[in-house]
Amino acid sequence: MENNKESLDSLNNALRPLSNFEKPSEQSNADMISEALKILEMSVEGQKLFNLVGAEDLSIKLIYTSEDTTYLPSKKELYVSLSNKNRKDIPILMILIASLLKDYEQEKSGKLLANSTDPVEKHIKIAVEKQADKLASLCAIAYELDELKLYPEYSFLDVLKNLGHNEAVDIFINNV
Amino acid sequence: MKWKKLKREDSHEVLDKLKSRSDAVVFSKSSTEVLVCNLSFYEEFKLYKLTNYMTLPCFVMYYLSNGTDFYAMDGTASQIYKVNDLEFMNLNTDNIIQYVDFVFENAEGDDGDIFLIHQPENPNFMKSMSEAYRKNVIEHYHPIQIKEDEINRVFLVHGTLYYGHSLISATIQITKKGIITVKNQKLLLKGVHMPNEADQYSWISGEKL
Repeated sequence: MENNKESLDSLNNALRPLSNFEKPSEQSNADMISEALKILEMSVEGQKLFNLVGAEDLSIKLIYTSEDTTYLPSKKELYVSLSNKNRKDIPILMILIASLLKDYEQEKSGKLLANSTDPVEKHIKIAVEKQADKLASLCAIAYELDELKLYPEYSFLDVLKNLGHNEAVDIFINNV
Repeated sequence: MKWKKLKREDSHEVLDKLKSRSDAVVFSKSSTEVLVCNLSFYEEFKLYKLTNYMTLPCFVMYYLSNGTDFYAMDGTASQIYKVNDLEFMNLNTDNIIQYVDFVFENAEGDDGDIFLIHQPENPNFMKSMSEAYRKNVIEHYHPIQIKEDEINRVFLVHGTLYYGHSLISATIQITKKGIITVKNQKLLLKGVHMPNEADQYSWISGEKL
């Protein structure tokens, strides 16, 4: 059977102790966020979200867990989490920051999650509406950036698909 | 893993301790559940799972802690190795598989999740595969075997790993301080797609070499 050496090597790479040089620092995290924001700003839809950062004096923090996800625990604390395999992936970070800022924008405009005492149906209805609104924005940003061809080797729509939003991307493309 | 939910006052104590760190991630007391799990290979450190249920999606973070120091699980093995340096590690042939599973659950490679396959016959593991593929997996599967090499002060676990959508036979070497290296890797089968819940299987037996 064919031996996929690169993949096997990366297995041990994942299990070795990281040197201090390889560990992310506050500065390297800030540089990554800044780079991702620069990309976000290049799309018209993204610029609206980008402007929130300065206008609302938001601080975005980059953390590392086992998932690529976002966390908005309060109005001023915004976290983006990258998984190990994507810890240096700026396009994924850009999409996650856009998602986070969209959450912030929704909260600011009063689109809040249901209260814990509300019926399940209300929770589902609000969650679906918020998610649809967010995905429409993310698809628009990814589409615009792909059209700009600033990164010819990269498809931001594919990044969205890789994050599990295949269906949303397909619906968006069919309606452009 | 056997998780135990902390009482309200105990979870608040954990959140207060975390809050005092400069790199603390915000968890509100009113919407965060704290679970704890004992780990047989550590005396003092336990695994804490913090879940904020008031965000969409729920946000989860795992920490290794002795009640005073907290080490956030960051998707690499490094945080575990850091704790191993501080702890008296109780690794033995009875818990070495639990330790390997623990490291694999918390360390992700460039090609995604890493699992040590315990039971290929498990229907959940097989359910996404065709009949021909199931046969192929069972034929290629190497059962788990454990050996303690006292001269070199390492444990050797021979078995079948899932990584990068492939099954790999390999020898996993674990030092007494818990550093893992995978040796003698041989690709057995490519294009295997593991269901999400595959890591929840429990290991029931390991044949000693």
